[in-house]
Amino acid sequence: MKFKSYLFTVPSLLLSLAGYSGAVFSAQKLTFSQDILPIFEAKCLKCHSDEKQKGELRLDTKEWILKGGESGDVLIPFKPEYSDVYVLAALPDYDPDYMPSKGKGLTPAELETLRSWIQQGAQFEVESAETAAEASMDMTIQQAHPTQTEVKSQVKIKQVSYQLKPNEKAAIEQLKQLGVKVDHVHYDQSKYELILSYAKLNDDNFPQQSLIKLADRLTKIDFARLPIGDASLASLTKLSKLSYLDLRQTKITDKGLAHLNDLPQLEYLNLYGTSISDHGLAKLNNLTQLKSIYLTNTRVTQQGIKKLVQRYPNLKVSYIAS
Amino acid sequence: MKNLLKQASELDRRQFILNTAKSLLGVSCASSLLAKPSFAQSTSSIYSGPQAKNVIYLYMSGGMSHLDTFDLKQGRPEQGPVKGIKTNVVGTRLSENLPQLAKHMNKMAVINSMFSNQGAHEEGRYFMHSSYTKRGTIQHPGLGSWLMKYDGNHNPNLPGVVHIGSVNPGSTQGFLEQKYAPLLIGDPEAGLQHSKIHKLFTEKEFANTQSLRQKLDQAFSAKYQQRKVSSYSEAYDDALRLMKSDDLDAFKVESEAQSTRDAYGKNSFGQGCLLARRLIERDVRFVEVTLGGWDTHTNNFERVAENSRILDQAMAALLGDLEQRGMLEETLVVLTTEFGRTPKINQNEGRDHNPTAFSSVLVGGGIQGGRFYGKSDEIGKSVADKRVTVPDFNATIAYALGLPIYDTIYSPTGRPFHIADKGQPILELFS
Ligand code: HEC
Repeated sequence: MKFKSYLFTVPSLLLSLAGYSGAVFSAQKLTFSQDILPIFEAKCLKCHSDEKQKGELRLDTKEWILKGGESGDVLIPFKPEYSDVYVLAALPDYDPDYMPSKGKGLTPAELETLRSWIQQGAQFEVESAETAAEASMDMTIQQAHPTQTEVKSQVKIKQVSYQLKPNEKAAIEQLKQLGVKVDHVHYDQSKYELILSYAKLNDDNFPQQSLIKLADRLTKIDFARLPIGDASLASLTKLSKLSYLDLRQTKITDKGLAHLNDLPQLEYLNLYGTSISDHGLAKLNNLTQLKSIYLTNTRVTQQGIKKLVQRYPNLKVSYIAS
Repeated sequence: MKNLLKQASELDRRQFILNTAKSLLGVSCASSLLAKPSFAQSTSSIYSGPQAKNVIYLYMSGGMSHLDTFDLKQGRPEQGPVKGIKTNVVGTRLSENLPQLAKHMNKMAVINSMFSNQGAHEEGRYFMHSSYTKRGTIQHPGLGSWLMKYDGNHNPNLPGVVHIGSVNPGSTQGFLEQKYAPLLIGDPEAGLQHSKIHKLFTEKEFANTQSLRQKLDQAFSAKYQQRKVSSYSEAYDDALRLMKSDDLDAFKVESEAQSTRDAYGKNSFGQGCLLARRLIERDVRFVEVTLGGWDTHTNNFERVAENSRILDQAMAALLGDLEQRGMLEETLVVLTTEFGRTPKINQNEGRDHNPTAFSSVLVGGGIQGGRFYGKSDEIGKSVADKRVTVPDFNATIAYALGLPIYDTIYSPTGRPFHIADKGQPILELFS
């Protein structure tokens, strides 16, 4: 059994890895009436036409097929691997969902015809030369998108290609060695975010050099609960692209906060649960992009916040006096 | 092809791809992970677009009445006795059953056009959690396990997926590897206090779930034969790491101030939400907390009010806490259920199952709050505008997490799957 699924999996894996598409055997476009209906008649219509509608599905006409079955669409043009009419028939025959549920299944050649037909866009009728030309233009547009439904909701997937410099690569390796979680930012694959909380770090072994090497790409850093203090803060001043800095429950003090003025892009500053007071806040005077600051469980007072808000009128301050 | 592979080696998911290649016999992945696709965004602020790292998933088991909570039909006889109250967003109303949550409306996106085609509990839960209908013998993975599969742990000392209360149908690791299984905490107040003692493996667990206790049990009993089965020793390593870890403290809700514990509510859902906050603070990726009792075929109005009190207090405390800690930017809070309840009030003052229109809520993780999305018809029976199917809803969660929703993953039988089936994310909620 295992072996069978192995044999089944490998070809499809290779096909998709190579981005392989298009019909294997026919240069000519397949159509439902000529190529697919005969197969369905022999293998499927006993249970999926006017007499019986197993799974609330009929497979005898275009309209019925496009209507789908009890669990929705069964045919997605250009996407055989999304189309249940193909998927279920391509399962290994011992799978409980295999179609036909009884009787002889599709031969490998029939399966391939069905796959190619869907891959080519699931044409139902033979077309004239003109409409064929139009349709093929249509097809290239649609193939740029993974499925028709995706076109509907306008989700575009952008393949961002970017090249890491050798020293950036090295820095990432070093950080990972230390137990730092290195990841891409969701909205921009060429930018990075770090979680340092689970690396055993303090001011003495703070990976300043690695961070600086990555400075052009570092957007978010999470230091939450690390026993790091002002010395480490001082070494962040070169991270000029940083927009998100989480210093929750670290050992930083008022003294260190002045260093943050060197981070022109900073939008989010989390000081929750630190020993920061009004004196520290008074030092923040150059953060033009700052949008949110978190000050609950610190020594900050209402007075200090009032002054901060005078300097940053649009700042969202999260603070509950204890 | 070579280029793609070279790029892949820079990616954090490298290990995953290697594992995948090695496990052709198991779950194989012919995905575009090789060059991780990212979604095009016009701006690059951390305040727009998907931002979620972690998820707190509040599951209302039994079918939460949308009409008596988030989707009011005031002035209609179908509404029954429930009144609306103002929220902190001008011009919007929620049910009087949700007075605390009404103060957090500015953070919430309330979807009132949810649609499911599954009208029975078990099937509905399965569909909601896995995006697939129950069919044949295949088990589909839940979102937490998908997240672990693609993105892994952030905190190496704690499990990545934790379920508090119960493990719902469709929320297990499904056909993915055992190591992505959720850990079940039956009683939030008991936490993991027994993890140092290996005798306490008496609780009967959900059949398909590898709870940590079971892992420990296996680990200890298999101590001398662990080399035989490699996954046993993996479990053993995990268990040891967890037992030594300071992060175990995360499980101790009792170390919170009494005032905080009271704020969440003195009941297991409330304490479960508090535990969820503590776990997410330590970068557990996905925590699900279940509140049962929503199957209100009889006495709907009293029972919904009672249940809402528990939900309202706990979720409001949770949102407030996450906000103060600066965690709402990266934590997606989900509130959902298997279906809503009928507009028609039956002879037992009850409401029956209504999968064709119901409500769910999303907060944080890049979701822009203070709004309603979609509409049900004038009595709340069917969707009238902007239908959100269950797969669409899950695709939205996956999109918030930056997961590759169009990647194809093959089950051990060679069948292709997607994280949220054919669901399409609601991009509008992120801007
Ligand atoms: C012996 C009867 C039988 C034959 C022949 C048969 N099917 Fe089915 N089919 C069923 C049954 C029964 C179901 C419902 C299965 C379920 O959902 O549990 C079904 C369901 C389906 C579905 C899923 C519909 C949905 O939306 O859930 C598809 C797709 C399908 N069949 C395709 C095919 C194809 C393609 C063939 C021919 C290769 C075929 N079937 C031949 C009995 C049959």
